[in-house]
Amino acid sequence: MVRLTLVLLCLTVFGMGCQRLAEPPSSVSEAQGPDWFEDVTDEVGIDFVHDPGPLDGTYPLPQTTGSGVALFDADGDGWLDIYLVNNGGSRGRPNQLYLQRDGKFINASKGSGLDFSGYGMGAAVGDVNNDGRPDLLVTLVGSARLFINQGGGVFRDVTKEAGIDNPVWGTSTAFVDYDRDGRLDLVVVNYIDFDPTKRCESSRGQADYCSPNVFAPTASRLFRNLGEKDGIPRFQDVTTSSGLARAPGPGLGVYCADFDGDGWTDIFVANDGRPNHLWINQKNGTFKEEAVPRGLAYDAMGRAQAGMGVAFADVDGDGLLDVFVTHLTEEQHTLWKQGPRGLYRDRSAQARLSTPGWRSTGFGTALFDIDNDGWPDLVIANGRASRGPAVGSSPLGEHWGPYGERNQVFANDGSGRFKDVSRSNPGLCGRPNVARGLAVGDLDKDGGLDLVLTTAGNRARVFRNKAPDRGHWLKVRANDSTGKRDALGAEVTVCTAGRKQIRVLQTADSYLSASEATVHFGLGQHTRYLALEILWPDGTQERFEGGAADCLRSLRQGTGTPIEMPRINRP
Amino acid sequence: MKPRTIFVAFLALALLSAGGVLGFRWWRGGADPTPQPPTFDPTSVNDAELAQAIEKMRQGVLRQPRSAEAWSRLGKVLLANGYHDEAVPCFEQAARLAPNEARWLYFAGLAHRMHNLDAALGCFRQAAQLVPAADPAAFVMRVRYAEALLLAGHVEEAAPLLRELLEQEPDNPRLHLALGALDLETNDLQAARTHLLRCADHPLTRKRAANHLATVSLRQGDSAAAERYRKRARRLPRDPEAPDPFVDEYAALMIGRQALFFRGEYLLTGGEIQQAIEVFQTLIAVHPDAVEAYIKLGMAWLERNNYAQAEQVLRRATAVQPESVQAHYFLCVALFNQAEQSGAASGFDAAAAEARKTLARKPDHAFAHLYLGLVLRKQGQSAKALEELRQAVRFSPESTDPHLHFGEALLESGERQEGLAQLEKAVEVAGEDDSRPREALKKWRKAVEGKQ
Repeated sequence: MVRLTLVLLCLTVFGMGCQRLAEPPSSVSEAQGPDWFEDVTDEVGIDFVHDPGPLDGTYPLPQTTGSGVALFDADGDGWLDIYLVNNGGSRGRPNQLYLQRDGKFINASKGSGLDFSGYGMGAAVGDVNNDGRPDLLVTLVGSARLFINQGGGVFRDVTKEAGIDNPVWGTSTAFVDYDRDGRLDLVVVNYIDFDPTKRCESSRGQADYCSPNVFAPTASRLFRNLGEKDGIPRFQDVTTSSGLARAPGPGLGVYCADFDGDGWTDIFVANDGRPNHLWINQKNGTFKEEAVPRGLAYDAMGRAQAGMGVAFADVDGDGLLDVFVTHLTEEQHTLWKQGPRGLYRDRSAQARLSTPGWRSTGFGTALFDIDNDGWPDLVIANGRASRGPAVGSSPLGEHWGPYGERNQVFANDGSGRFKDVSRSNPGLCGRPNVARGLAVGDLDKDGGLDLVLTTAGNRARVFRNKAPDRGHWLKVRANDSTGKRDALGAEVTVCTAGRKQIRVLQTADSYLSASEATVHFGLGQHTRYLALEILWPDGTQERFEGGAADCLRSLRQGTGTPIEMPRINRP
Repeated sequence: MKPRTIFVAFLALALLSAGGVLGFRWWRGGADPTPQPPTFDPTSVNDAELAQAIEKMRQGVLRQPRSAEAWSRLGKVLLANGYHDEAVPCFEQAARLAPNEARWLYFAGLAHRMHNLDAALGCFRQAAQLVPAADPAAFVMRVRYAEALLLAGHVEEAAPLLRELLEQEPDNPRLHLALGALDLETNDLQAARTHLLRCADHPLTRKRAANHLATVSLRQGDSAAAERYRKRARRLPRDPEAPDPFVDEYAALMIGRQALFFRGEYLLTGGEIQQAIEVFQTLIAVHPDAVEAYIKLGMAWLERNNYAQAEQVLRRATAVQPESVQAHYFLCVALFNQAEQSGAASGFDAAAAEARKTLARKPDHAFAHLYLGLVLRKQGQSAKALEELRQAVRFSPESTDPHLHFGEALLESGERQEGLAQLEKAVEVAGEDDSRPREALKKWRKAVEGKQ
């Protein structure tokens, strides 16, 4: 009789098929959480619609890679402005600069020098001539252009005089002082050797964007800042002599920081469909590629994935910074946790990132503390790179409809594990989009980090942080010894009672985008912090006294107390 | 209440529930309503032959809606030709109709695995549980399930299964690779090394094993070994997919143009040239307008150094699609190599013409500049050759040949300093297996010193 019962029960179970059993656990798919963002695009006056070029059925790959966004104070008034890139080609709509005035953004493109057309991709922000004004580099398919900030929201194109020649398809880009000479050098991540006559089809025989695998990868390029001549910074292409030419790759994302714990800035490049690259600074002007032994080239199963956006943060508070890279819908986004120092391991499953509410193709991404509870949360800007299943009529229209996906947001539970709270964030995640760039910054200076998101062929959107019961916070600006230039690459640690948090000052992250040049900490219930410790890009370390929370603290190298922080031995 | 009374009550309740379900099914006609097979929008299948094949299987399902085999045939033809999502319900329906048959669940898992790992895992789990241990397919299904568990991060569940399977096949490279990855996950480095060394030379696993061994070595503090393994992994071609009779079963139904093309491309990039040639030839026979297949076939013949065959198919490619950059470029390569072999001046002229056609369509094509430069150099047009070679270096500084040939051309024209610098760059970017730049640098340094 008992056997009969079991047989009957088994039959009932098998009758269900495997689809239902395979659904994510209810705790994941039905996770509820706070609603953190509201779409304020119209309210703040951003009317930018991305120009992807003509949708003429040829499906050129640059169209679907989209373009980025830069958040920086372009006119020096102390408020973040927004620069948005187009990729409609030389006859397409020009890039747009929006300056912030009284909480609204005014289109100030005309006369800014930045309103040019082309197949625009990424943007990087950094003060290349140490004059205290952030300059801008824009990558394009076939070039990169450097603009010097003249003040007042006006820029001058100095590409040729500066010696920047990147005649291939540039994507993400970053300024970095890799040789510790006090001048920002430039990394341009390059993608593939694109052939515009190549036509591709989906597996179902429909015209579609090509996979990058059908084109040859190209090398990222490194330009060394030699200093100014006649008021213009001069760069030398050191791609080959630095070693970067040794390993080409279809690069899309970049992050520059100290990945191995020796105090020197390294370069991580997320490659699309090939192993990632980790260029370890050899402290003599050269780099050695060490992604494989350090565990960042592949996922846990030894597979190269389609790396796109990059985020770098300490997700579990162990004092070691971890790497997150977005991938395709058919793959998994990957979180590599650092530990021991300089070595990384795929911990996506342990962080509960392998069973999200839904799978997606992630491009832009950011690890930052949304609710100021002291733990970095995760945002992913989604949109397919190749046709998805038929969706019927889509608000994105006939062309972009099959590529639309909803964005995702994950809450850090305070132990480095994440809960998918996308469903409770309809403003950010409630509708499909073909999202690409994502930049983070405190647009309204209220201590909550806001988002600007770009899409392929559609509107850029601004999301205001409206997290309820946000904790206390601290923002830090860290400048070099002249007090003018942001010390990109500096590691800033805030000490509160019983806890330390570490962040890197870096504007170039995510995908094709540049975020605000400050370090932001959520302090939870702490109304004060005890101290700030900084490892400057030149290797020196200082400690600064603590103070009250909920403010922006500006630090200048050389004005703190020199310290010798214990360095953890690295392999 | 006594435990026995509770048990009897529970049993009665279970029987009552089961009886209710069966009664409801009997009342509804004795079985689940049979879902309709997927219908297809003819415009979404651009391939007439494929559309016809799918329709034939669909008609089979309509004729025998309660046949698990008919549903699975439809599922397999869909899966083979890229319709993963549409294949899933077919296999699930087959599984409902034949609940004791593990393979339909396994096929459903294969269909899910590209887009939904969680769903695939569920299917593989059920298949592995259902398949009788004596079934020859049991091992394949359980290995796949164990790998899926590992992939999804279920390390604790994967470990005993993998070890149990290893007892059945102690030399299985997939199991050693998976166990190596698992031990690396759990930081048991010595155990990881032991497993990885067991699969380090197997063609199915050697690249991934080398990658993992590089990581293990650095974690064990042996950076020299890490570097050796890293270089080894870099040199090796991609590990091919492990043999799976179920994959073979549906792969045999690959008839769609795109599915065949992807298959050929996969083989070509994996270094399986002869198999790739056969796939592309099949594809061209069925679809004589498939320009990409001609180009890939041409590339495969070039890999085989069969330049005449390459020329033949690439000429057809340029005829089918005159605007194709790749067709003109690879034709240039085929012509140049034939001219090199025969020494015929007309061959170099033809190669130069194709290089120019390539550059007219894609001015930043580094290797078209390179080949044009090489032809011009042979024709004694040094200044023009130098300009082309300079462009090749500009567009592809990561490639050895532009630096090498530009350097030599510069040195031949008396530009010693820049020439040697280019050869040094060629050495910098060349792989260890490529001794040409080192030899050229040595030769030219000696020559320059001799002149001084």
